[in-house]
Amino acid sequence: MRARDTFSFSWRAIRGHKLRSTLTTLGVIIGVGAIITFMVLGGAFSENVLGNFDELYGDQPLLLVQTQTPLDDGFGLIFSMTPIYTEHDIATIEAMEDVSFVAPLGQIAVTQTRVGGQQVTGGVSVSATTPAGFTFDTFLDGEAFDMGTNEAVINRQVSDRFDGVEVGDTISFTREGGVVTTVTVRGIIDEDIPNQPPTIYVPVDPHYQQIVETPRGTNERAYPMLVIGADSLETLRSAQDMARAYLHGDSDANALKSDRDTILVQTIDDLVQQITDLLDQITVFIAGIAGIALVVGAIGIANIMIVSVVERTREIGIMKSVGATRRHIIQLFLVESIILGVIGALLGVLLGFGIGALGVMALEWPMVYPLEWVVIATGMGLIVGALAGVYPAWRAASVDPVIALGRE
Amino acid sequence: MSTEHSVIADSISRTYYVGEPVHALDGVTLELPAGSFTAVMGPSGSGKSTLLNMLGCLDTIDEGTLTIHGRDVGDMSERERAMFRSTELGFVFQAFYLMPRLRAWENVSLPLLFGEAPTDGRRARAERMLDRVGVGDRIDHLPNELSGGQRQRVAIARALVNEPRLLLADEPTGNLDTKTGASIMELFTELHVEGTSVVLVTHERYIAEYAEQVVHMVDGRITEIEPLGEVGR
Ligand SMILES: Nc1ncnc2c1ncn2[C@@H]1O[C@H](COP(=O)(O)OP(=O)(O)OP(=O)(O)O)[C@@H](O)[C@H]1O
Ligand SMILES: [Mg+2]
Repeated sequence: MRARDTFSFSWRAIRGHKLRSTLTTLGVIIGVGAIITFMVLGGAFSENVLGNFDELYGDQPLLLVQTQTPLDDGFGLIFSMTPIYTEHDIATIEAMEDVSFVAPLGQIAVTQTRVGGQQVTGGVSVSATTPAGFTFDTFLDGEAFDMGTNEAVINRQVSDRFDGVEVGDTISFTREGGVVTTVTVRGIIDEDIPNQPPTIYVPVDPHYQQIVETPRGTNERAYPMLVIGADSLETLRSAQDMARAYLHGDSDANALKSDRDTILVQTIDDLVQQITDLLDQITVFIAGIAGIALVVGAIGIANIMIVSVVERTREIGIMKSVGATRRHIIQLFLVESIILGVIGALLGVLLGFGIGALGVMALEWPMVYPLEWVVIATGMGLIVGALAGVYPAWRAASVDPVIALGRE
Repeated sequence: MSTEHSVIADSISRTYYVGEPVHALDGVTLELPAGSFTAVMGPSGSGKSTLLNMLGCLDTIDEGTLTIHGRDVGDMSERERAMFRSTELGFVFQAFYLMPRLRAWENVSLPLLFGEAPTDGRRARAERMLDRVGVGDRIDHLPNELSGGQRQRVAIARALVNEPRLLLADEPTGNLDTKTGASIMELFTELHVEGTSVVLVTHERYIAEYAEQVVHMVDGRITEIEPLGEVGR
């Protein structure tokens, strides 16, 4: 019997019961739908969070120092904005052998920003740092500010927000509390990071005033985040180890942080890895659910196939009486079951893309098409169908034609 | 053993065990020459269908030997019997037994699908067979779009499509009115005249009289083989 004939026979049997066939494949549809939905959302999430972050910054000898706060419920990453990294910590790390610079990153809370006649409320963030903080940035125009001045470096997003801001233009921002500061743009950088807001960078001196009392009894500026530059990629790991040993040891930060927080000293790769790990955890969870749905799907298909074998006992008898062998009958029912599995998988893929696209739209993430998962899902449908069909096909092949063609 | 014989049955038996044993066939010995036309008659439960199933290799014999077209059927594997059925034998049933979702020509070409012969030109062959049995104008109809007589003609076309040497019919006119039954019997007569061996089970004497001989059965045994003389022309 040719493959095409087998296929056309089985296909007709399925089409004979459209509704039943569709309901039968529901388990597979749900299982595969869940997998594809998650792959779309997960892919879109990492695309949104990471973009080509890795490519842009992955080969730069950078370390990020941040404070991680545990989340009360569920998965996720949250960084604390408490200023705990003091001037003393910065100086100590900067003195380390493999470290070339340490740039603090402080947040200045602003309510409104004005360029010329345009004023916006919110949406623009102001960060305080040092000129060393721009070591690895690409300047589209101008250069880094000098310390102790009213100069600023802006990212391209600021320029876009205000329909073009150029070097030499002045920007005013109003801090929470009402103090207005006016700065002159000295340079514009290209910060091609997904979700990076329009940001104005100003020198910590004189603009950043978060002062904390250190455990040593002094009053110093303190920051929620540090960027450490190592001498080279080769020395990055040793710089990381040293900085971490200090920050986890007798640093001001370690004394100032809250007990439940953790100080992270990460390379860009570590950061990407952390997000990837999080996605992997969710993947395992989803795979479990999908696996259960697929098992249920297989049982559903097997169940309907057995019903179908019983209903078609007469037809099986007829086929045997005109020369069908056990093998022919097994083929027919196995192919039917596999078609059901694959149809379920394909409908599941459509459903998954549909739900995924809706979710991505709602979250304003970029849409991704995990095509390799379409292939994997179809393969899973095929395997589920084949496994589900083994027993019913065997039952069909074992039909005794004498009994099948016996009394009405 | 001779190929001049279509069937040589030597005291074949078949016992079914449903509670106490039922001797459906109890030592049947029968020789049917190639090209013969035989009717089988007997009361209900006398083993007529069982005998036909044996000749059709649908069922296995418990005792005795059965040779069809020179081959010992008892020695064959299940697979060999299936192949043998598709090439050497044609079946016609009282209830037609067409596949409900297949069109007339597809039903007719069904045995070709399972055979090992090349399956090119299936439709043409099926059409020729449907023409031959007088339903050439119903090629694309589904079984439920056909009358009983037309259905039986399609079933006969299906039985003939592999050009079998032995045609087995179990009460082929049982579900048909007298006139339609007679026209089906004329078709069998023509096939017999063309050289096909025919064995036909019936309850009706006038149907049996189309044959050359009548095998009478009671309780799984042959009680009489009654010759009727030449038929056809
Ligand atoms: N598959 C089976 N299992 C058990 N007993 C069977 C089976 N097939 C037939 N029999 C028994 O064998 C005997 C002969 O049955 P068979 O069908 O050959 O009779 P028949 O002569 O064709 O009768 P009818 O004229 O009613 O069709 C009956 O007693 C029947 O009950
Ligand atoms: Mg009978």
